[in-house]
Amino acid sequence: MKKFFAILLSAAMVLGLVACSQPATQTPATEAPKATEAATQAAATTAAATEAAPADEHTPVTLQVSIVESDFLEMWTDTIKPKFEAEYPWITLEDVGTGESKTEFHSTRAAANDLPPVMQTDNGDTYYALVDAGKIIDLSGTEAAKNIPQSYKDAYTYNGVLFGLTQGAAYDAMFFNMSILNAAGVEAAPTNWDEFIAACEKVKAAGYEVLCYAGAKTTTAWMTFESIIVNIVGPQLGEGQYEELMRSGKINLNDYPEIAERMAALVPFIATGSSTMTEDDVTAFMNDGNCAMAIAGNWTSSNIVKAIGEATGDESNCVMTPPPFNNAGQPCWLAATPESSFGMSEVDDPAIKEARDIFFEWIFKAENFRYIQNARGTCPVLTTITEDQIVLPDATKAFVVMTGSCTPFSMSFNNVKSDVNKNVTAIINEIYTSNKDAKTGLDEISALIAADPKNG
Amino acid sequence: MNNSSQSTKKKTSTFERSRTITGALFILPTFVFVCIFVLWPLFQVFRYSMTDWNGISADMNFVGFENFKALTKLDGFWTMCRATVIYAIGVMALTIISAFLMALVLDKKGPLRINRGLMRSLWFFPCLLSGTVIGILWRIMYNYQNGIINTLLKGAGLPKVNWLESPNIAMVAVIIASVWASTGMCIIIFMAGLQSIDGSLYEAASIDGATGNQQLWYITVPMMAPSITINVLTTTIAAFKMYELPLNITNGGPGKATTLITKNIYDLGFMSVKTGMGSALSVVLILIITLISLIQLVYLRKREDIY
Repeated sequence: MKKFFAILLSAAMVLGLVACSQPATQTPATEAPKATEAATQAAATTAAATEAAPADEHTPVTLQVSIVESDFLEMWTDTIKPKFEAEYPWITLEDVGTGESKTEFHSTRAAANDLPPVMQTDNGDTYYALVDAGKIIDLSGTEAAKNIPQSYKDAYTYNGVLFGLTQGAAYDAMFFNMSILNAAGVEAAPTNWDEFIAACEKVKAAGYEVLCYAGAKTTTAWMTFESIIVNIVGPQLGEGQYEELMRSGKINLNDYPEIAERMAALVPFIATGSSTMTEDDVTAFMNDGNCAMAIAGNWTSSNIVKAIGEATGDESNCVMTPPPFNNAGQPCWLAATPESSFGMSEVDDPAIKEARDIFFEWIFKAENFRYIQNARGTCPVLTTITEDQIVLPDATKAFVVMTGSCTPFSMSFNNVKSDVNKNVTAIINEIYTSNKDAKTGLDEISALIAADPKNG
Repeated sequence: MNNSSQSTKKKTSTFERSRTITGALFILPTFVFVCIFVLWPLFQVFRYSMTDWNGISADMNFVGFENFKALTKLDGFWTMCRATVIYAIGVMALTIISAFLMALVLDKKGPLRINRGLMRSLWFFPCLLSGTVIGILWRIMYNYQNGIINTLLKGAGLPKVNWLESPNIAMVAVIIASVWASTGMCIIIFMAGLQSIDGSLYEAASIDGATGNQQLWYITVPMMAPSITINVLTTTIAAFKMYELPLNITNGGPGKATTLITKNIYDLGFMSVKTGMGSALSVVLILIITLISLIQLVYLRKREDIY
């Protein structure tokens, strides 16, 4: 009897392991040039498949889509998925990776040759490696790519391969609790650096916390740093030059002494704990009603506007502007970046490939894309989207108008390597927690960027 | 007689062989499992550590010990090693001391003789939570502005503590959370040890006039040596391997003050797509843990032999 059970267990274990070790159905491409071929094929397939066909003419397929960012998951479940499946009944959408780390999820799936056919992509070493390995394909031949402005496509082009089409545009923004500012004797939201520092001093003197930011996230930690830099460097060098210096690693931040001076001037006004705050912490802190300002991304505007509204009893007490770090009389330089994007991975199965191409083109049609757009509250990028398809909070609408008078620059996490991005974030937080003086910190940051430039 | 003896021997031999085969078959599933999910990955880590593989590409070149040399030039490598050792020693020492004391308090036969069933459950409760949950909980509690710890301090008229932004305090904060998370399991092992001590030893000692402290020092501690050995070893190994708890509390900050080796392994392997270097760092960690465990084992076993 014992032998019987032992043999049975062994057989079950061996069978289980054999089943687990079956090769993935998707065979990876190993050469980057294949990506371009795939893009052409994708365009051709899409053209043929865009017309919805009756379900009985197709083999039913399940299409995996990585929805790693979960902030539009409700919209995905309630609207996007049912709408698409109603139009293409033979394709079942399966969202994977929800809420996981984008990089970790995709790199582990890539290691198993099992990337989702449609996947959220980002600028970063992992995605560049996927491009180099030919595992994500060139989108330049797709219809969808024609409706995305060139600058956003440039931001998602690596080694000549367009590997992502962005979900929206992100900006740095300053959120003011006007109730606190008024109580401190500041009548209007500051519009330049001098007014900003004067307002900070008054708010602090009135006993309030002045400014918070989400230091736990690289993107938001950089906002307090980069908005200062470009408003000093930008007017001297001209549009696009700062980004070029960052990419080539040829920027020495201490060549512009005003940067260190302004960062040092900001330190006393940063709310204690900011360097460890997440975006949710910032929202909660603004909801407490004791902090006058928050610097954050426009993608969190819905939450912060609501938080200030709850703290003061009226959402109109929230004013949202570009960070007023410009000199008086000069236009404001504003960080803008394409948000995470959608890309496609290489697939062998023709049925899945067809489904992948159909969905990709479908999601980038304005009437479908608006669901993601509005759920995230980011600024529109699709050229085909119409005014009536955009729904943004009031404060964000006003902010979008203001961005028109600013000079845009590309957020630098797009222009430096992942390691550098992470290490610079740590230094920025050290400066704003007084663990490091601004000049030393800027020396270290310049050295990090120079040591491993993106265009090295 | 001879035939009978030979027949018995033959039967015994068949029986032994049958037992061996049965035993081997029982072990086989676990053996296969360990080979595939432990030994093979371990071998692969050693292999990758000597390549320039990025974890994604099909290209993989042998680079010898280049990755190990590059590790020493890694930004903040020595700070990270120092932080890992401080963290591991801090967690191990505080966990063992607090678990030992709590076990004494909770054990019926110990000198303090306090029985608190509910307390045992409460102390064990953190062991049921994942490191990520514990990390997030403590990060919220440590929040300078509205965390419960500072709210309590403020309520008691004490100044608020900037738990997560000051390098030294942040490490203390992470160690406290880790000790809270790991004490429960050690208490269980210590209590098992305490309950195996013969009560007559305490009775005899009392009759001989030994005080509570003397009983503790000359009976309890020596008799607990095997439990101490196992707890010290497992806690040290777990502390060196800890990843998710410090990550969720401080994300390695401020600066790199609480960045442990494990976080750098993850960053190298997954964020920077330098799987070769990440594997090399994993090998270094394996060697550190093995070395420290061996030293502890030899020392603690000697102590056990003395008693």
